[in-house]
Amino acid sequence: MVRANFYSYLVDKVRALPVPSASARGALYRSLLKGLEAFVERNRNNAEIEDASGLVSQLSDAMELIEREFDKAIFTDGKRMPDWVKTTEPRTPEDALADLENMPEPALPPEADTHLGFPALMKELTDGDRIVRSLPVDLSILRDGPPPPTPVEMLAILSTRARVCGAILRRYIHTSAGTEKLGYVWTLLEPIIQITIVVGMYWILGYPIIFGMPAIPFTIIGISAWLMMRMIMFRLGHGLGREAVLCAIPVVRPLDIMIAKAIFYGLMYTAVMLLALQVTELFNTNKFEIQNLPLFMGYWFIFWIFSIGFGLCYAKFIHSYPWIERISLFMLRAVYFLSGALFVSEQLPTGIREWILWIPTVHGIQLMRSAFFWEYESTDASPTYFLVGTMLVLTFGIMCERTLYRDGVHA
Amino acid sequence: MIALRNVVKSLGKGSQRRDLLEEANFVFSEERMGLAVGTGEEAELVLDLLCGIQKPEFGTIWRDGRPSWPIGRVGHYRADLTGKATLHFLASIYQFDFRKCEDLLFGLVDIGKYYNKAMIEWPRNLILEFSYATALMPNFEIYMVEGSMNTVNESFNEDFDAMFEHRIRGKQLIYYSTSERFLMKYVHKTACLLDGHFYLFEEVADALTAIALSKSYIEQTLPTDKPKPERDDIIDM
Repeated sequence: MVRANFYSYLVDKVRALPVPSASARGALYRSLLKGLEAFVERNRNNAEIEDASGLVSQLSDAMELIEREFDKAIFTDGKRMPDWVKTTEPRTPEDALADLENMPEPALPPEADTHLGFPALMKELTDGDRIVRSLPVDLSILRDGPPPPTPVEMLAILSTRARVCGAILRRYIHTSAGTEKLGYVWTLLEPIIQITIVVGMYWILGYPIIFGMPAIPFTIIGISAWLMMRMIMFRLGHGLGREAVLCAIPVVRPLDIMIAKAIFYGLMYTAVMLLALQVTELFNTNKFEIQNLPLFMGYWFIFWIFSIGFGLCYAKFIHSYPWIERISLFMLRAVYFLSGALFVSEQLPTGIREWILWIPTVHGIQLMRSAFFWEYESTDASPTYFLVGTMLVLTFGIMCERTLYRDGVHA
Repeated sequence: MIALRNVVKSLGKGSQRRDLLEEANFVFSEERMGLAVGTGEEAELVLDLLCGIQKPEFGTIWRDGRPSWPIGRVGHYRADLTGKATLHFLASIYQFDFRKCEDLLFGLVDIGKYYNKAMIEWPRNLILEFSYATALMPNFEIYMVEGSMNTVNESFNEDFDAMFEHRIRGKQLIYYSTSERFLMKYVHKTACLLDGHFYLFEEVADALTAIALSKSYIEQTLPTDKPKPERDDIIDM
């Protein structure tokens, strides 16, 4: 059986990485495995190395050994990487196994004059005849780490976040409107025009009723919800824009700016939707009564949360894969027709309905219509599915936002 | 107090990326501390980390008080907003009395007609004076300063120095500058970033000497190519 010293090879490869982070190591391992599998495939019929298939498992073992060393460095030694990464000394698997077996003794109780685990670094430099020497630093405070926040401190943090979001929202409203007073009107006029165009098409085509519901309010609810989601997704996805400069103030976090933007667009589309419904009620011959306004607004609010989560995910996606930005406009047009903005699933054939109901927005918009209209009770939409979907998207979105924040990506 | 435990942060992108802090452990405990860092770009990142604008890639940084923004930077003032709107925004997020601070601003800076104009129309020196004046308004526990804290207006400098000295009494000051004169005006002990770790020096001059020696060391040794891995024992893939 062919045997190769993969461990030493991998050690050199890891040392050559600009930053040996977990993702960089993962990419390295994947490329090596791919190369090796291609090599094995090419030489499948080669009699000299017919037992080369064992190489893949040898490479996997070497990778596992290196990962165990990284785990030990991070979780046991409190370091980011093993010490050998920064040296050039040759290293063998035996060295690695010896290091892993010789786990350090548990830490001794702290003494007054030691810095347990945190060496007090000293520097001595010679400048001609003069010797420049650094002073010792008391690092004993590092031993205990930061104290956990008390409930009062937690409340203070939440109150600060709310205050900052409020201040950014006020600022964003002013800056969106521009310097002219007419700017505030334009800010509202844009979504009104967007909704009027789609509703006008239904009116021109002459559909008074859709699945028992008056067509115009049916469309207003679907289109407003969809436009709100689309706008929040784009605004959050394309970074902080001109507001990124605010991140230079320590109390302002990128997430505060994103939440403020989402509140702005949420409020704007809520106001426009309610205004459009009011106008319809006044001028339309097809009168309607609202079944359960609080429940309807509750679903609207969850849909807004869903939009934030989706926007945060989108921001990460287009940062990691910029080509997504180019196809997203086209994709969104396709998704628009599947989002439930223009139909309810009960109108569709059973075969298609099963697939459509995987989309959380379909559930969200149907639940809103179900709460709004007396004439319609959705049999397909599931509040549980919509809520769980929203929570999952929001959790994933916040994780995405954290990674961007840690990388210092604001704009 | 600002404490750094096993902090890792890298600078640059792609193949130019290098570690600025390599598991750095340090405590900024002195009331007035200087900061000596090799280049401006590195200093900006270190100050961002210390005041919480950026997060470390690994490790923990904690502070026992509210840090200021790096005083001396004007990047967070948006050009199309007026001075009044900017002051109002800062008053909202830091909860200080807007009217009192407006009075303080008018007393300190000859802002006149520019106050209600977009900051893009302001003279450069007025923006700088405005930025220094607004730094006096919130009640920070840790003040971070970047640069000289000086403008071309001598009377403003005198008034500001007196008020700033009063403001930082009993608070912590971390001051980054490349000028020995400005550092010595405010601080004695200086934290110096060398080879990814912080060291404390008794005198400002010692820290700046250490930085200079470190720079010359880098210049002498760069470029250093990493030795290529031995590949004799590796199967060719």
